[in-house]
Amino acid sequence: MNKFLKKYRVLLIILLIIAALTPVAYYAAERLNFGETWGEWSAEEVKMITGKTSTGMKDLEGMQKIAPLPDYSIPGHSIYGGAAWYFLSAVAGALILILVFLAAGRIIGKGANSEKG
Amino acid sequence: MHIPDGYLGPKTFIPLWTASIALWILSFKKIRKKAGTEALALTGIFAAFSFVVQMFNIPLPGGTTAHIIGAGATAIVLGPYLSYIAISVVLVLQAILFADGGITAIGANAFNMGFLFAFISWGIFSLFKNLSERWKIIGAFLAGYAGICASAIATAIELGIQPILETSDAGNPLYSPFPLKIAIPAMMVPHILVIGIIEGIFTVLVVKYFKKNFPELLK
Repeated sequence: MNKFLKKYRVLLIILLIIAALTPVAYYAAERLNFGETWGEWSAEEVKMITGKTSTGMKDLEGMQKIAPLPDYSIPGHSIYGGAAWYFLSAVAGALILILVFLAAGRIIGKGANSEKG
Repeated sequence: MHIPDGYLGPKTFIPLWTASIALWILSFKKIRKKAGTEALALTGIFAAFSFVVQMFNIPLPGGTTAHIIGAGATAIVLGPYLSYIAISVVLVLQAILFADGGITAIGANAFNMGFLFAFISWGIFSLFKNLSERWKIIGAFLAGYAGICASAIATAIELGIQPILETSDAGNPLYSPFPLKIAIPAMMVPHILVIGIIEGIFTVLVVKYFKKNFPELLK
């Protein structure tokens, strides 16, 4: 594993730099008030756009309440707190993904014979 | 491009969940047969890159935002199956932890942003694989560009057919209320004009980096 991390250390450093810039992306989005992405509004917002309630949408959208950090943040924070959560989310997500695939490589990988999938 | 919960009705999300499960099993079998420990570990780095670059939402005309995905670069370096699995794992994490993309829509999102993107990019790049260096770079750009545009059009179609497929007794849309003639331009204009180009450039940069530093992976 050490050898692997050493071999790809430049990529990991670039990844860290990109993660470090995520608060800037968050700050810009909040300050410039980008608004929600097309097609990703809540049922309430859709009602404001179309004037009608999509009843099925209202029923299903509650599924998303199980996520602990909706939109990579904790609801009801200041803009700086939000940016910090955004950065922590980036780091945590990246770390989880790297660990999941490292473990997968250990379990199902075909050793040094590094064929691709 | 992450379809949230509530936008797709069961007539759409159940078939797409089913298709995704079948494609995950197929990919897992392919990967299990030949993927090396290091290729899988490197897939984690690509998945992490995809996750982090998706957090850069770029504001676009018409008041929407969009982001690149990185499935094409992953497919070119690691193959389409590992790319599809990488993006699928990213999408599951985003849905469960961050409410980015719906849980009912994981199948649809994995199909659009993972499967279509990875296999279209990989297919396009393989047409350029044996050509000169310059053509390979053009191929990498087109792979990224076409891949994300394919994801966007599939997303737009799935959303746009909802008012036709799923209506209440009174005829009102139950899920996404926007018809194809709104959904397609709303999704496609940003991706054709802006995001596709950024995704193409990202794909070229990754391919160039691997060509220079780890050429054995691009054989």
